[in-house]
Amino acid sequence: MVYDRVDRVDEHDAALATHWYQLLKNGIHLKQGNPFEEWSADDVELPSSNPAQRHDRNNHRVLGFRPGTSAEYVHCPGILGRGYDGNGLTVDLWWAAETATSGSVLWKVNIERIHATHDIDTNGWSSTPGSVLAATSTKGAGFVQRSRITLTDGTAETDDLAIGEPYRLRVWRDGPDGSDDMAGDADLVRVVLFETPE
Amino acid sequence: MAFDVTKNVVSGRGTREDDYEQLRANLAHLKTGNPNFTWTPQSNLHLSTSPAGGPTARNDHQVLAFDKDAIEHCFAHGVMPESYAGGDLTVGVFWAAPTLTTGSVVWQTVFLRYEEDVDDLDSDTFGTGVVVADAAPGTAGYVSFHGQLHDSDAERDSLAPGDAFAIRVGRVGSNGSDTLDEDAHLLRVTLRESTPGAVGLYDETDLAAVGGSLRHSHWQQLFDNGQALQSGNPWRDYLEPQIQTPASGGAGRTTRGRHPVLAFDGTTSEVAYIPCAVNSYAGLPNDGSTNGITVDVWWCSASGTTGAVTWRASVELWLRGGFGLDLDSDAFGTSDTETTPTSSGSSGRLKRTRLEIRNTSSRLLEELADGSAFRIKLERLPADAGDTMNGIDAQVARVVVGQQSY
Repeated sequence: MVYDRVDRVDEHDAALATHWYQLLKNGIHLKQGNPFEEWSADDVELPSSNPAQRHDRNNHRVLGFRPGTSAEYVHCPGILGRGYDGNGLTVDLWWAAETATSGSVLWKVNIERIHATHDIDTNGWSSTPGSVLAATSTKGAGFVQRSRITLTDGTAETDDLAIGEPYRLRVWRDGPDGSDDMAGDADLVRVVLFETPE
Repeated sequence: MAFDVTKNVVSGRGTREDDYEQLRANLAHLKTGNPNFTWTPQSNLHLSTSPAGGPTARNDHQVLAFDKDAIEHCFAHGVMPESYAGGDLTVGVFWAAPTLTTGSVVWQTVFLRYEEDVDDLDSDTFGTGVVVADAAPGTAGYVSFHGQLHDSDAERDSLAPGDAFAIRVGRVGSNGSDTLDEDAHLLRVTLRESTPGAVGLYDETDLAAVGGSLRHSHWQQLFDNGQALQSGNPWRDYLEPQIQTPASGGAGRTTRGRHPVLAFDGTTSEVAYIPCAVNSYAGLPNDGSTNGITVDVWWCSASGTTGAVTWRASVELWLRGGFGLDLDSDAFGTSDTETTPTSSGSSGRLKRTRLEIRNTSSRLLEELADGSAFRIKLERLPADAGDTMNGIDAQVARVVVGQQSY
């Protein structure tokens, strides 16, 4: 829901309840503005094994995920904002095909919650990743599209992440999966995470 | 009072005052939660003469390593949102010991406020530091969540809404209370307002204080408060490491004092690209005005105290009409151009040029929504008649992108 000013308020207005309800919804919208994280290609962390390839494309810094037998990864570090209201998380992946004009990419994400008794020397990725099988843009290679993955609160998808806790969001292309049939790289240009709207 | 959705609001209900109080408390609760910054080791500013080591990988976590026998620093950066109420600030320090399970680390956090035409990149002036010892977790690899409370104006370096700032985070290894006999690994730094302070833009309009009966002005204040929270907020600030430059015709990368800056030539037009996303979008004003995106350019002259610089910012949306942008061909649209004199005080003093990319004839900004990705192109136009800092670089220390207030 978009924030709505509804700036004409009259105590004797017959539509008073509407105004009140809009105020209420505005508050919800403001609250849902948090948490919010965005990662460009320079913001992500590249793992030591099977990282995506950071490079420039027409002055856009991108992360190239190759097809084939090995999945490739990036890690997006963050902390769950205090405004989180338990509606789950949405991850938007902005990407374009390097050269392909057909086929699909299988994107997956999962969260590692870094809570007070988590050992950072041992990985704790959620065993239930979110995923989306995204077809190449119908307009051709190079055209950006937004592929959306939602993670349900209170399930393994969000790894029971709580307000104020650090986390890593892992993003990968599952090239070995049979459904990922796009030739060439998938160039990731931006990752955005926010609370799923009510 | 915690945030409460309180959905059951009906006209004529006998408890309207209660509903009003809850709505008021909801907004106050939201305000208390802001600002809400997170920094990672990769966003560290290398301003210190004695920097922490790294970032380096620890099981693929990027960490900064602080020595046990020295005083080492890292820097986080940001811009205070309009929703900052001027209250106490808590800097969160998330760290882990490499192997040990006993001993403490003494952390110091200090604010550095950048005020237009006052602060000088050549001579940083910090606020009063807060020093606290924190015990290592009892299990190696566990992370300590530690807060440093800045509860005086001096400890916040007089930060106000709209101020750009840096936070210096240091380990004071030389302090006698610092007893962890190895490096300390820093993973995250956060900043939040811990208690709301004096009323500024935001006005709670306490119902009890005005006689306990609802009036038109109360509801109007709620709307105004919501606006103060939602519009006019910076979405993010970008420093040299986060700004992209083309291989040809791009601004140069250099340092001023200890500050990384982008140098825009005084003879040939140069560009930089800023990758952005929309956060907590208030939507366009419903009164038909064209308010849109603000781009604040914090810059100083490479030398001298006379002349002016002309800047232009333009926007490229990545999703229009349901279709994505072609990465291989640029599509920058609506722009704004502004000229600002350099500081007459000293060459290192920062000036702020505000560019306003408005929702004009192209109606470009009508397609923005929370999460929308876009790019800003920033150019200096030395050929413009207003740009009189001839032959002298303009050094950009920071660019802040946000929504124009209304």
